[in-house]
Amino acid sequence: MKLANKIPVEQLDEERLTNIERRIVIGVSECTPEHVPRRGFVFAAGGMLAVATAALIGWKLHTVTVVEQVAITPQHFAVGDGRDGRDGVKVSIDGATLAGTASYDVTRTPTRIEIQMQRGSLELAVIHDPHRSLVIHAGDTEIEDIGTKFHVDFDGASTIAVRVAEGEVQVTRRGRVARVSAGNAWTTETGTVALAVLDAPKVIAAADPVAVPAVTHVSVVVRQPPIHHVEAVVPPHVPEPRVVATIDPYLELRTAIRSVPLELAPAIDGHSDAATEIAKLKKIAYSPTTLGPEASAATYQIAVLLYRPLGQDSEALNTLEMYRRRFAGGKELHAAQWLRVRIECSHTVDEACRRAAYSYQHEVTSGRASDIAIRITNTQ
Amino acid sequence: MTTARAVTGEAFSCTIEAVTVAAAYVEDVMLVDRCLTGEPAATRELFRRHRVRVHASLFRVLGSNRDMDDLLQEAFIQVFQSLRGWRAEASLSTWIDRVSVRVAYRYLSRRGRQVATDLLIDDESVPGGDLTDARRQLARDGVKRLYAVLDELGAAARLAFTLHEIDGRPLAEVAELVGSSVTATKLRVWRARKKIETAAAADPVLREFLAEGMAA
Repeated sequence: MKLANKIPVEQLDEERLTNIERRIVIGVSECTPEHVPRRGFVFAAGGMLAVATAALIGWKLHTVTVVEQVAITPQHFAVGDGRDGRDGVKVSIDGATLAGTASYDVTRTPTRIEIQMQRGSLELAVIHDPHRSLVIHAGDTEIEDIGTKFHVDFDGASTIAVRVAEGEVQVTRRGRVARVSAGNAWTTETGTVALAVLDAPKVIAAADPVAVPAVTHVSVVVRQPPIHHVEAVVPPHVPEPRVVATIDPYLELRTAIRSVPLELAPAIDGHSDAATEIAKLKKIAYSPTTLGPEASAATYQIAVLLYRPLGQDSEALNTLEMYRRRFAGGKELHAAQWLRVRIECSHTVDEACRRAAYSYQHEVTSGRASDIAIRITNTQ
Repeated sequence: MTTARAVTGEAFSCTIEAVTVAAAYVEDVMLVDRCLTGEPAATRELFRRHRVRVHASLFRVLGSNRDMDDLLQEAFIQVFQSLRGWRAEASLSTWIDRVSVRVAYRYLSRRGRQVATDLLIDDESVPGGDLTDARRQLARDGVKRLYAVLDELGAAARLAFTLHEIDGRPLAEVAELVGSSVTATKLRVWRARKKIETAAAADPVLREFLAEGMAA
């Protein structure tokens, strides 16, 4: 039986080989140690580890409340602009990043961080930790984060505005609790309201043209001789413009986007479940020994969970980008692209939203989602 | 005189071969050192040097490119993870082959004995440009049926048979790759051959394909 060289090898195409190569390089870089510690350093590292462990145990045993006054340089900028804590502007407290123009006190215990705002404006990016809650007190209002990015404005008296960019916060005022999710805001005046409505440019109604004549003529008759007939010109009375409505021209389109269910989404209830599930999925997705289909499914599901229920949109988008790079032919590719459309278009139909929809419509040429993607692409 | 020249020529070519082997060895060692420092360029270079050979071996064992991406990835990830354990006693390529054979073995064991061969060989890739359509078709069908029989074998027997009979490696090398004795490997190859011959007796297409092979 001579079969050697009788069975031809079907070569893999260059694209597949490049993908494999990329995945290997990533996998290897993740598991290659930075350096091999020398024996002398091992003892030093061991000593430091022992000291750190003792300090940690001591800290855990004594739940001492630390009160610190944090003064922030009056300088306004957005979170994520690349600054770090070294310039004294952005402050990190156990997974939370604070920045803004406010002054506040921080009270910290192992399970709770409380920020007492005096007044001003505060941007927060908080990594959710189920074992530690972060609460902001502004006047008589309490704002509790549930893993999010949000912004608090407090005038020092009674007006408070909370804008939630990602995730969810819980606002408690005078015994009433409101949960404010991503894309929404809460103010002392309006309660919970969509961010688009709160921050949208106001539409000014044109006054009734009949009621506002261009020129008002007034006739004045003077009875004393000589008799003159004087015609005076009085400037017209222009009524104050009034706000009649705020318009979201893409409301119907965004409703349609939300009505298309996410495919292959994991069934999870609650934030803690989602965090646990993500931790599990990450082990699958980032393990170098995991096979492609399992890793791609895990990566997609991480993105879904980051989007809902955690509401961490930018993290979800990063994960989707990673999915696109690692699993170009993955089974969940179309679902992942639709998820991107959904996230990018969740607040408004802008250029990023249109780009996502354009990519989707090129991949998926039929179906309801594809029709919606075409409509999004056609908006200007 | 002629004999002396021939001997000198042989010695010269042996020396060249030895120098080439030594140079390749030094190059391998240096490349591995670079890989161990986590240099991505070295990782790429090592993958590119060995991917064709590893892929060919895996293809001949499995009979198709199904799951090949995952297998190649898994094989090379294991190579890089175990690179620190390569003691430069065997050549790097032999060591990599051993790792990839283990990966194939695990894959076959996990998959079990199932008839799942779906060969993706197109007509153009069948060797022998002068083959008639009928013979080309026969070659395709023959390969399919051969792997259908191999699907029914255990992982160890399949590996031994494919590496020896299809990949053309000597029995001693196959034994070393699969980590068993030459006798046990020989026995596995023999059993697999018997099974194929039994299947061929009942299948004229497979019989003809194997006879073509014998003729070739």
